[in-house]
Amino acid sequence: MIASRLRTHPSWAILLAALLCAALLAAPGQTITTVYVNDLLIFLDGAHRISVGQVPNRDFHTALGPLAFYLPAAGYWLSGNLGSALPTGMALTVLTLAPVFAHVLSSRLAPLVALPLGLFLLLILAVPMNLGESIGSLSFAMFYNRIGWAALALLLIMYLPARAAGPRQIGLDTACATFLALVTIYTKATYGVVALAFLSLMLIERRQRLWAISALAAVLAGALLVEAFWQSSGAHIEDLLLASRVSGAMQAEELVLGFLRHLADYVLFAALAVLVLWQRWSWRHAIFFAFCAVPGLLIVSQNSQPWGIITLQAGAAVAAQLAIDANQRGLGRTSISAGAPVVFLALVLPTTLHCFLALGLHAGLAVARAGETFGLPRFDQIRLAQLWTPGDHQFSTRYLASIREGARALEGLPEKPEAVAVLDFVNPFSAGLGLKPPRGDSAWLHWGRNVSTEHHLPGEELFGNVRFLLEPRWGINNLPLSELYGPHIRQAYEPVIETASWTVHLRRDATRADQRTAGNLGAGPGLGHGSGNTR
Amino acid sequence: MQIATLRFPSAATLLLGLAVLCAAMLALPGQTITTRYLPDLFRILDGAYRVSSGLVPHRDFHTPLGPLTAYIPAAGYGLTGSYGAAMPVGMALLLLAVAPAVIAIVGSRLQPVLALLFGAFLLLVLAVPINLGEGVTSLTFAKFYNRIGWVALGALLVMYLKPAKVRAGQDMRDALAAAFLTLVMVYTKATYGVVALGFLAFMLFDKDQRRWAVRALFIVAVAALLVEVVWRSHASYAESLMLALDVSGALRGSWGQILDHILVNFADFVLVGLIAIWALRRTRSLRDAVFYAGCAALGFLLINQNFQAWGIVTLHAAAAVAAETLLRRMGGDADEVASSTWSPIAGTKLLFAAIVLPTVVHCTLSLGLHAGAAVARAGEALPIPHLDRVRLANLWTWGDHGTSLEYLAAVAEGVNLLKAASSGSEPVLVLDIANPFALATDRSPARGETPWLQWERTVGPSASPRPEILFAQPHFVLEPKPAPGSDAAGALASGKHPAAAYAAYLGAHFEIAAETGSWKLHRRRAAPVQTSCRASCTAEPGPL
Repeated sequence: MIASRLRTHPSWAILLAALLCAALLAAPGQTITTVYVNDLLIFLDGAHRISVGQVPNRDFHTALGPLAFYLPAAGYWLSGNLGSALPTGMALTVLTLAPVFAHVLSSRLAPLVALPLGLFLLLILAVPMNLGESIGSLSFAMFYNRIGWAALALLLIMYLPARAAGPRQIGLDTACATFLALVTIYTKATYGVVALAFLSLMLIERRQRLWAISALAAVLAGALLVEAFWQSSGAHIEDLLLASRVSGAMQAEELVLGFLRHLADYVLFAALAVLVLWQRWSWRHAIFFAFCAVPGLLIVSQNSQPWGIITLQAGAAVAAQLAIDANQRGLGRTSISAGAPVVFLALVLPTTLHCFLALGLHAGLAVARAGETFGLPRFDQIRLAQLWTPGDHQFSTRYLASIREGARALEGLPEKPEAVAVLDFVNPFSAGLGLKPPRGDSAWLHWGRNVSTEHHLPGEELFGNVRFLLEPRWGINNLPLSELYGPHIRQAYEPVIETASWTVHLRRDATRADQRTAGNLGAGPGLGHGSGNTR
Repeated sequence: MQIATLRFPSAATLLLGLAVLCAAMLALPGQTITTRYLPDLFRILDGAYRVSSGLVPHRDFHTPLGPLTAYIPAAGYGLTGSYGAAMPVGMALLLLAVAPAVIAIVGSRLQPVLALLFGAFLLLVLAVPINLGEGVTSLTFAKFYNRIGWVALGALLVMYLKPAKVRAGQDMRDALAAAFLTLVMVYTKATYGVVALGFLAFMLFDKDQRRWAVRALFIVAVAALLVEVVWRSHASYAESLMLALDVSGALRGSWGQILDHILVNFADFVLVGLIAIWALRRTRSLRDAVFYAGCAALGFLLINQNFQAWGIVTLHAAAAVAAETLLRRMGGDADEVASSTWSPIAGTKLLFAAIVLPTVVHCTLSLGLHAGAAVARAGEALPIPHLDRVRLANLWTWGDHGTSLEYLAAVAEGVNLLKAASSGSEPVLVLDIANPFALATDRSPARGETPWLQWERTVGPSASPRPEILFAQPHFVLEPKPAPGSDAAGALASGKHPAAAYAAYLGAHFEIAAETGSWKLHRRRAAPVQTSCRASCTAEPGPL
């Protein structure tokens, strides 16, 4: 009885599944990670920064959208515990997006397609794993990519007109499309650009033009509203431009190899698209399928992600639904295309199960308190676990050991330090020790991605507000950073503590500046002052 | 002719055309293009060189692989006189030999759509010069024997289905096809042969199919006896296999590695599970369930023995059987077709297509890339004598290219070292994964040698080829000098390297004649001439 009801009303099944995913994430209240410890630290630091009142792109540089920091911050705020910041933040994301899932999928797709796609996208969103990696590679790293994919995929489903247009349909469609577009824009800009392009593309479709144009207007109004509070859109764009200059132009080679890595998905997607177009040729459909195939590849080439162009699965769902519609109306050549829903299932089922296993594994390990804690006081509910394959466990263990050593050095200072920065990938100390974070520095420094010899922020600006600068002897990309900023450090700082792995530098004018900056910090200049900042 | 037995000549004709096309794409350019695994290629070509010098596999030299792995490239070399054409032409010949059996089986068991899809899948897997599961541009003939095993076994397993329509002579044709494929497996790679024989035995329990299975087993037995009359080396083959089993074990890797290996093939397990469960819900047949489970479990045991991350072809065969079973059941069931949103018949066909089509496209692209690169003479000809039609290309395979260039430079250095040491034809043994030097310097290959010395593959702490046999004939021994700090250097230092395993014997019977950055050249110590030893010779330090 209940099962058949869930089958015919996918909304309820999707909402139920969203609740389950959210519970699996949030209930254990622990973060388990087996890889990418350093990436995780960016967002723990970010949650901490937000919790002390900093604002992304105003108080610290980041090429990721502000939501990538506010989501873990919301999780932290709700739970009061950094170990819950990401699981709870992602659970909130799942629950917030779930009604949008329910509306978009049930208004456009038959249950036969809506259910598998809904579960697939929910699990992509919820799973603490970088897409395309092993079940044992648990990590919240790159969670923003998964949010971008899920939101963009849902938006693409809106290419299909609503199956039964009710009076509230236009309003709900506009609200959903606006929300999804804003989520992509303020999570990671590459997805946002594609979302906006898609909304513009929908203007050519007469029946859908109304919600598309209202959504574009609402997105604009939303962006203006955000800017009224945030006042950092300009600074965010500066940071994006810096990151794009550092990363350099896209190479044809990357695109070809990226395409070949996703060959199996492209083949199944193309099979469905060809079935639909062979059934009844339509320029609009052809353009839509091309839109799923190409921008998705461009996005994935910007991600650090071995597999997963989720626009293909969205396009395949649309194709399967188009085939169902044509069959029901007896249009065109039907015989073989009546199997389209099964091909779609084949495309999404393996990944759905894969993600479900990984999500379940994370929940199980979290309940079992597996692995060792990170070792900094406020990271006591964040654990590094080793599963069946070593992965980068050795590296992570060494990295955590060096962080603990740095923390001990900071605790040995006569005063409680503040405005601490690290000359490496990320700063674990502000969040881990509960220190007041500096302003004007970068949320992370990834050599070749947002900093390089050719393009970087000057040391005076990046470390202008930094009092203690920790320089590691070993780390992720400390060597090129030491070379780049060495002259500035020698000029503006003096070493005060040396340990086996760290040099702690203190700003030379720190004692004199203390009196001056104490009053200034609250109304400090911050970042967003003009275009001269980023070079 | 077997083709005439097909119900749908169009599918058979298409598949035959595909086989001929694949063979032509391989053979016509007459060049080998490779991007990785050079040592494996050298080992294969060394096998061809040994056979063409009159040696017999497993009688005169030992590997854990079947004799066909030497005879296939030898046939290609014999036909063309070029080592660059040996593998492409050898595989083209094998393709043309195996294709009729494959086409006869899929044509007699599967509906035309399934026959076409699965037939194309098998033929392309056999033809494509890559190691299954690797990138489209990772061209190599290495591990070609695994693909032969998978294709022959994949086709054989489809015989689990009864023929769709029984014609006169069906049993005999079935028996011949099954026996031929089984023999190919036994004499290519024994792990596949064991599974094939097990499958034939399993078929004895099916009273409708027992007739061809009995005949096939009988033909295999008679053929093996005939081979033994000529070859006389089954015992030695078995000995090499037992040695390999001792060295590497029946289940390789830690349980974590095994779990990861299963997860790499997770999507296939899921999709084949889906179609198999769908079919079992209709048939409720325990025998079918055993068959599907056997395909999954034995397929995994096979890939566990391979150097191959993805590609358990027995799963694809199980999917073909499940899809055909479903379609046969649905054929008379009118209710099934009249669903408003989808059709199970079309769904079954398309689900099977979804399982095999990605690989079909992948292999087509790779095969086309190899043919195109061969015609365009892409990359660089190897700077090794006789291997000028083997070309190393960098097809966006930067890491592999760097490794290959280093290895190639070391081989060229070794060739020069040997030539400087002697211009004769004294045999040379290499304490490494491959011996390209016999071929490159026209030396007579040593009898009794194991030309593939690899730690935990053919040499290990538990068992190794006996040094008295291994070193009986060679006059020279080349010992690789791993780059300091490399994995190989670590292995050598900790004794986990063939050179470490034979260090004592080597020191006792050979002396270092020359040394370069990459090699130590050992020369056999002069035998102590005891009968004619005069007083003066006792003054010299004798060999210890």
